[in-house]
Amino acid sequence: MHSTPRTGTEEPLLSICDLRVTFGTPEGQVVAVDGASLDIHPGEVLAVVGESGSGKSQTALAVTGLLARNGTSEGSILWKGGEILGLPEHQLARLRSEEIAMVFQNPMTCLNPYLRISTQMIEGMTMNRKMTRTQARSACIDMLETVQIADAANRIDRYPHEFSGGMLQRIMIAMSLLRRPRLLIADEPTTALDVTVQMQIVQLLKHIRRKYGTAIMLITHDLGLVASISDRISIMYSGQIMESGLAENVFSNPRHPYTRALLDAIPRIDQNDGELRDIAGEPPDPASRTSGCPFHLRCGYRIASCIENRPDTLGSREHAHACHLSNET
Amino acid sequence: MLYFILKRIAIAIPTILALIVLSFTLMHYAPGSPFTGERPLPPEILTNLEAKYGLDRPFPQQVARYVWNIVTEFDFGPSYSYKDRTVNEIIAQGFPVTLTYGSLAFIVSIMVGATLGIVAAIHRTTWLDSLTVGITVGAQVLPNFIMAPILVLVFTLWLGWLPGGGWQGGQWPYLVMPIIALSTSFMASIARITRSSMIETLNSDFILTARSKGLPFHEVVIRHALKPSMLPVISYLGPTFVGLITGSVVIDIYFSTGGIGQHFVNAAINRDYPLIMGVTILTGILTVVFNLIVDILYVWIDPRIQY
Ligand SMILES: Nc1ncnc2c1ncn2[C@@H]1O[C@H](COP(=O)(O)OP(=O)(O)OP(=O)(O)O)[C@@H](O)[C@H]1O
Ligand SMILES: [Mg+2]
Repeated sequence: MHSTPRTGTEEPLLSICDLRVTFGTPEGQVVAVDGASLDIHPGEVLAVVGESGSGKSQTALAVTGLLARNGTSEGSILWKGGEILGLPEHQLARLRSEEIAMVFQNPMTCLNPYLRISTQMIEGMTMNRKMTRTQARSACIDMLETVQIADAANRIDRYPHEFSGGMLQRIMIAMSLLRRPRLLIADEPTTALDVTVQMQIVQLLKHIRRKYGTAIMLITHDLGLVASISDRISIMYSGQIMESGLAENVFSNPRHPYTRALLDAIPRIDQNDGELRDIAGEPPDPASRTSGCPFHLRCGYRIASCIENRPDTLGSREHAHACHLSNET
Repeated sequence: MLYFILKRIAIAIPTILALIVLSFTLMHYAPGSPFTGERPLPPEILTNLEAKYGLDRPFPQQVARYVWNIVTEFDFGPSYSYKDRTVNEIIAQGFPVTLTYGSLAFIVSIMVGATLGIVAAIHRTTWLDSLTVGITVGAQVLPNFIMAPILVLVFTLWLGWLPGGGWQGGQWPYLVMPIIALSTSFMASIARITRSSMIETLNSDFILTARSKGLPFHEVVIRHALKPSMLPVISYLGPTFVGLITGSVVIDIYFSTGGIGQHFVNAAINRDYPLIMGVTILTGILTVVFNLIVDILYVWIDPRIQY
């Protein structure tokens, strides 16, 4: 499906193993991520796809140590082979500043409305790199031009409310790239944008990966959007990884009923019957996890063991899945 | 921005003029006269007095003369009750006193209040937060007229550390209790406002962005959260200012500081109309100017405000 699928000989950049993220709330414990594992190799684009509430954002936030105060993470998160889960805050801050950058869903609210774009871009550059303000400023202007903001030299001193959503997201992406991260985590970077702008942002991410070799973890609930950019895909549901593998394997040979349901939900231009095929039913409540496969309540292929045991994840990096049915056949 | 400031000043001037005319009219039609004492004055003396102060002339003429004197010379005329002293002299003597401890109380309220609020917000759900909230809730129900006797009781009568009143040219032992008594409740309100707006700001998306850049947390607070979380505090500065002015009347009397508040009360008791009007108009002008500064501050902080 995509140009250069990585084979997995080199060491992964990021390797999440059996991650569990829980939140303490007055109503009890909420399990947002429930034993998820995934890894990303240098320069690779991994799409993490799942419905709202499946734990995608919390996985990303756990990596960078930005969980809400009431959140705890367990398991293992390796960055270049070293454990980063539970690192002290100043080391995590350093990791965020130098290696792992993030772009969030809503560009309209993610930039500080009270500060100029230039102020927000330059800060953090002059701090960690030995750079003067003038150097940092011209680096920012260059980066804005890379993300196709016209007349960047003048517009850099404007305030966020003077830009459109699509432009703000480009600015956010430019800002995240300034520190030359090895990994860019983009958490639904297109969800808040117009459909026409969505594809432009995806094109931009592709361009960035090509230009800087940045690995990208692209979080989305829109499987259709990531088809053209992702090397690999992880399908997430109810805090667990249902299926993962090379993009072409997942797209052409989906093994998990949930993946198939997601693929069916992609609107197609060629068979536009005017209705979106949503998956029937609701995802399980993260505050009360049930036993067995989390998808069994909505699954049309349910067998007895689906209700009792959680399926093991079988397969390789090229293609793996967690489903009793496919495991048996 | 300059245009905005000029426009606001252009609005402020008629406001002040209206204030002057209105207070004069109210005083003119208020029942009674400064010369109705316990024993009625003989009619010829009354006529003489009225002629001396110009009270025999028609009302419009009186207003015009009053406004004219203020606008051209900032002259509020003679006092009725303090013989041979002008309102200007009395104000010149009392006003600096009130202004000194008043502005210090203002600064203390903001600095201490905002600091407490920020500390509480940052250490939310820890004992430090609970302590600050406890203190501010307690302090908020302690207005100046309750704080003043408590302070005197503790620091003058029990501990003997501070003088119970007086001014002595504003030496610090005489300043401490007026400032604390006047600022406590405002300090508490500002602390509460700062705390809740800081907590709200820290939950914003842009704070997450700032943290994701790897800025240390104190820099995230100072660079990104301070400005937006101070906006509600700034809108509270107007009411604080007015509250401090009215509170100073209590302080002046309780601590015998010789400030303008003391004269104001005396003037009201003696029906010294020029003095009442002088103090009223002066505080009115200050309030207008102060609100002007607050408005400008607002526009300066929030780039989204259209002006
Ligand atoms: N601070 C918190 N306290 C309690 N529960 C939380 C907290 N933060 C997130 N959650 C819960 O964790 C679950 C997973 O949330 P997450 O944000 O990872 O979902 P998501 O997959 O990113 O969904 P979306 O597509 O809506 O962004 C949700 O059910 C959410 O309610
Ligand atoms: Mg999310």
